[in-house]
Amino acid sequence: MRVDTRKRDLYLGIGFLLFSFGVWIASLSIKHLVVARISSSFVPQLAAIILAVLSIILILQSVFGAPKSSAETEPIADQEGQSASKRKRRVQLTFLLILFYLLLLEPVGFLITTALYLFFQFWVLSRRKPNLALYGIIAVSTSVIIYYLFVKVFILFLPAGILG
Amino acid sequence: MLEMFYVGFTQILALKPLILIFLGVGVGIIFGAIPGLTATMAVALCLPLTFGMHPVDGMALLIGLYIGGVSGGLISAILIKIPGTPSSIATTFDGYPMAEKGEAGRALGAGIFYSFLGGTFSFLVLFFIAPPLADIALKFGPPEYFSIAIFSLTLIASLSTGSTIKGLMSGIVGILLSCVGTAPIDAFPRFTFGFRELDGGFNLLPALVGLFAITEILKTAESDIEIKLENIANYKIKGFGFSAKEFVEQLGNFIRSSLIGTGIGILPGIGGGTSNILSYIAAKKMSKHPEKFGTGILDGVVASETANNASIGGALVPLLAMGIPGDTVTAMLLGGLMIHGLSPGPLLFTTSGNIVYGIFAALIVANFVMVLMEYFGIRFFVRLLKIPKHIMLPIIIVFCVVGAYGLNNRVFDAWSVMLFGVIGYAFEKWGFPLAPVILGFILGPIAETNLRRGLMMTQGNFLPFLTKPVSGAFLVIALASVIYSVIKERKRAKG
Repeated sequence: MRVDTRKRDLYLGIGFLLFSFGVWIASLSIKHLVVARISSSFVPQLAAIILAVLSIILILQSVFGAPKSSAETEPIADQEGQSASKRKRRVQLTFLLILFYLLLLEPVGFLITTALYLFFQFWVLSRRKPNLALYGIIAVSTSVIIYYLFVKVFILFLPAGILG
Repeated sequence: MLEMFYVGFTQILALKPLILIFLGVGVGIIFGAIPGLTATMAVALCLPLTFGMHPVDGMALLIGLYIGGVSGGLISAILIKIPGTPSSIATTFDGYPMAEKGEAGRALGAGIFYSFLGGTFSFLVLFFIAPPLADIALKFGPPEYFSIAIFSLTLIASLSTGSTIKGLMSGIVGILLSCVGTAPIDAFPRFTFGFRELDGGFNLLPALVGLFAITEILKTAESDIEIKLENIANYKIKGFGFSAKEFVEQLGNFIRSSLIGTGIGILPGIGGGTSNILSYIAAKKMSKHPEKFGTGILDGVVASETANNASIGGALVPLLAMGIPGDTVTAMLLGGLMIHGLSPGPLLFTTSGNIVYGIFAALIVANFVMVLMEYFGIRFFVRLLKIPKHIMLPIIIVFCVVGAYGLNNRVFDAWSVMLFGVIGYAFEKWGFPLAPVILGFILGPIAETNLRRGLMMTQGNFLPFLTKPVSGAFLVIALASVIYSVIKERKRAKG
């Protein structure tokens, strides 16, 4: 399962080109407030133009460039399809876990959400047979220690949630 | 100057700052030693702790983290052949072969000793260069600052790894991200799409934590590499592992590596991650026995470890004298100073000289603490290398969230951590370098504010930006650096 970097760069170029158009359109609503040569829309618009030009160069490079030019920058060499899909799932699960962690942080509170997040995240990332009891102990104690360390020692505010 | 140093040391040599320096150096070495955790991350994670502290105490902690973070990388580079941070990549070239020959203790001792010397060298340069440079920078107006910001941006984009085009694109994306929120000069809310939380724009801390820490955990979720206990080389440190004769032999190497390290550090945007490799290459080229490099000789370790620590003092020069960060860690220090209402730049020397010299004193003290801790605590740090990553990284994520939340007590900043994490992960996958994003994010507003201020002064005339000697020179170098790297890349693609 080798990723074709040239094709990828082509899509990336097109994507960034569209993105720079979007930035340009969004910047049209910026009003000229002060009497000056340039307003607040100048830098975003200039950046959008430069990004568009660079995207076009990237597209041209990927279409006409020497085939090997960007292949060396590809860091990930996949060996087996099965472990690759496993890895992908780990990334997706990690992403989802962090998402839920942030969503529940304020309503449920720091202590409970953190303990739960840590427990499941340990599990998702573990390579060998998971030791669930140990994960539970580490998760709960870490959550409690961090909470008291920050709230009592460093006087930072953390959401107490349903325990508050 | 001497009396200012006296003021600096009296502030640092008190119980609280000393404890914070020890803490900072210790945590820094841990972050440096564990592959995947860097000095940048250590400083980013501990930054929220400094909000409530006196500025000098806060800087003492951050400086400790910085020095520890850069110095810790040699432990894993020598013992497990994985550089703890990008600053120690070249240390693996000869450090690990030395360990294989049973000379791990010698490599560690020399690495620690030359880290200390390289740091000391660059601090002396900092002490002598920064104050006069600040005096010159006092005369700079908006055009000069605009041009220096543009110069820094192009430099980082063209020197970063991978393709120049992608580096430049990363920089532009960083500038665009910095445009979100209230615009400079006229305070028009840009790209907020009606979200009130976006009025203040994205904060630097969530941006950095997201780009570097979240990206790292997502990458770890993907990788299959784990450190095995039996891979750790045997070691025993006795003395610093080299004789007086060897010290004299390494003198030239040391001076060259210090100069390279400090010079690279001063250049905006690049630091220890680049200098250790360049200095290794230089040492090999100038050596009488280049064929021995890579087989486990002292010269390689000395070159790499001297240069990466020498970049610390270098990177602080543009930060303190002009308010322009020399690398990603100094970008965080910039944030740390601004939170206390101090804006780094030439005026800092006159308005808050006590803090500048407090930082200077902290550098010297932290450097000594680093040697002590790394030398006597090596067993402890090695043991930490054995903590499985799947336990450590989630805990770091929690620290990221706590830090981002503590910034303004709102989940919004934690969401921006996530957003920047996704951007960082995607960019890594697509072959876009991350450092230009953060530099664009910091330098974009500096460039824009000074451009608009300058145009107001010149009644809308762009010409003075080119005709003023300092400003014009930096713009010409900026253009030249882009053209040079494009040509170099074309050659490489063809050859």
